[in-house]
Amino acid sequence: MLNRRLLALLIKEATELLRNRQLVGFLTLSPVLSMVIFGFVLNSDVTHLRLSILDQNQVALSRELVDAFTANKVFLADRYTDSQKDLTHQVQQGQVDAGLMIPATFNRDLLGTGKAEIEVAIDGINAYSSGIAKGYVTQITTRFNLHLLQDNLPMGTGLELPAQPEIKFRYNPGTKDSWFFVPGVIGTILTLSAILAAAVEAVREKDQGTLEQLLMTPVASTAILISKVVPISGLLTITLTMCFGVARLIFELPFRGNLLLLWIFSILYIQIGVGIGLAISTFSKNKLQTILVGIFLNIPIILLGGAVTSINSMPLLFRWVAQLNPLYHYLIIMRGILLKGVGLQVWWVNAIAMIAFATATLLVSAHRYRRQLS
Amino acid sequence: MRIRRIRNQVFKELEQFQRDRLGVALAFVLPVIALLIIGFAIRLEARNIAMAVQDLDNTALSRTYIERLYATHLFVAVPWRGSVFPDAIDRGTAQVQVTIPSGFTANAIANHHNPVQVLIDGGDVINARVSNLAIEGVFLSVLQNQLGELSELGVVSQIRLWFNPGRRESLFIVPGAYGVILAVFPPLLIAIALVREKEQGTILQLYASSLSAAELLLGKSLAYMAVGLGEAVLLFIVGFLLFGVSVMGDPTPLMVGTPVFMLASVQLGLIIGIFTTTQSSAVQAIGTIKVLTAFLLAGFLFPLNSVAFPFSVFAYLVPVRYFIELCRNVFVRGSGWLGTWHLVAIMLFIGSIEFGIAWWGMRRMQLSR
Repeated sequence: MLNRRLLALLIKEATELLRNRQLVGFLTLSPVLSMVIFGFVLNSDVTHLRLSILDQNQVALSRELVDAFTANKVFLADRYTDSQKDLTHQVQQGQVDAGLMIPATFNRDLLGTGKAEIEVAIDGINAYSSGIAKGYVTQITTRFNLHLLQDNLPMGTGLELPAQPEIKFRYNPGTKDSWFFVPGVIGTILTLSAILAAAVEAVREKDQGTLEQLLMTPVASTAILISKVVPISGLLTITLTMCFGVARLIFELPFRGNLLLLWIFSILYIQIGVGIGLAISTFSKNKLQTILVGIFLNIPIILLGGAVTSINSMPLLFRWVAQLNPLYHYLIIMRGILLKGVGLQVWWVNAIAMIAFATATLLVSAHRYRRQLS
Repeated sequence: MRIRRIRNQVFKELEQFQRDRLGVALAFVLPVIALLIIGFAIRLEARNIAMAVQDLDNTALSRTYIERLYATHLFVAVPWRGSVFPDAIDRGTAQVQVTIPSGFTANAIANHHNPVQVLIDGGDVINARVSNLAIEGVFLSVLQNQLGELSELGVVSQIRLWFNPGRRESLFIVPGAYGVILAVFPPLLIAIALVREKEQGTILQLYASSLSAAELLLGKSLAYMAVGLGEAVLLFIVGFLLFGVSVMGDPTPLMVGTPVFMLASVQLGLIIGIFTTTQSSAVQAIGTIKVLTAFLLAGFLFPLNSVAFPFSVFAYLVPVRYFIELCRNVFVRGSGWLGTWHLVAIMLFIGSIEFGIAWWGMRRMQLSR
């Protein structure tokens, strides 16, 4: 009896959701499209930095140094200048990302005293790229020096750079950015979609006043709740499956671990998102408030969850706060399965955390939702 | 005549907005909280990368390397967990593993190939890149020191980081956060307001009135631009008081640029409001279009220089990108109009095109009814 009512209600909610073609599009196609776009766009590599060059020496050695800077695409020889003033001005105005100044005494100093100073000015406005650029500058000058040393050492002592480490990147030998960012973007989109869709759909009836009609019907409040949650979760599960399929096809994500577990925990994550959305809707009085809080909550969840940022670089307090972020745990599991191929033995703690989150959010939202109905 | 109609429309819109007191409070408080969270939590400079070192050589040379690695201030030491699966990297407790093989020093002197093994978690590309660069740098510089004892020769690069010599994190984060937050909230408010009129059918009254499409759009835009400007001013004040981020040099680019950005930002909200029929889809559209692009496509976290061609086009279309650039100019660089006029011009251009699209959509909608 109850099941038939629940079924009827489910059908009603599902038809209503499907009738909103735009919403269905935004919940299915646009996540996949966004994932593809951001998978291509997001790039943590620092290349093509515009370099302004001031070579006051103009000899073979100084040109060699300039070549060393522009050899590997990190710096582009964007322009050559004649004066220190111009160089400073260009960096200051943001016309170039870095400036290289080789003094007129460069060659003489280097060959005469063994030491020569050059100046590199880097636009430090973005800490990430300027940090990397700084690393490259050090590396380029050190390599340049090593070549000089090698050329100048007496025969026989010729050193073949013996102590260079052998650096390997596990899981992602080509350091493909998409392999890191695509899982992050999938997590981000699921968070956004689940929270917002659930929150807005749950207040819709409250806003339109049709909730009273629902209350007149002889169905239990739990059934109403289930009928609200299931269609959205179902739709997002389809989206999620499409996302993984497209990620496999376009970005050749490796999928090294247990796919079934990945799928199960992804669905669990959707439930957490839906639970959060429902909870928001019960705490706010109208749609505007629900939407504002829903959009707002996404900001810390996404930015502090490690989807596109590094948790380890955050201050200690926020590294602890990250533990309270369901997306953080979901991403560890997702990246663990997709890239590392590790199973429950490694991420069981995160699995427990996710189950706890799902239970807590659904219980709280169900309780609040029922109270709101009665 | 027309001006009065637009003004009345603005007043009506603001009146409706301020009726929901809690909503108004949220519209101003939530952006500030978002700024606090982003400002205090997000760090762009890599730090605390977990490194496990296994020193099987245990000589002065191997210890020099280890010391130099930690001297980069990039790594924190974590215990070595052995090399059986799942090891520390598999478990995620370490992001970098360094193994210095036994006999490393002896082999280095005898010129035998017996390199240090470094294993980096490539799944986390951001930390992987930074670690790789730092480790290579350490080994190269130790090598240079050794060789330098035989023959003194070298170029010393004096690296100067402009604008933020003390590397104050708030200067990196806060100006970008202004853009991200202001790209999300004002367009959200206008899109909701417009779709609500559609859902409640009150928009039909507007169609029936003598109000033209342009007047209607201008009235709504100006009202929510005002709300957005209020949010912006509040954010700038909080940024100054809590993070010490203040205007460098000429403030006029900001004073002109912020309203222009608001125009562009709010227009996109209008377009979304016009082309979506329900609030649920409008919110999803704002979520996927505005939130995602503001976080990921505006140069807030990563520079946009490395984005490859067909996809770099997307990044050029995002007005936030230019506003973040403008904020960084005004609050950090202080380069005045010379470095910012083109940003304001581009935002104005994007804003006008968006207004055109909104106007066209609104006309089409009016006629279809």
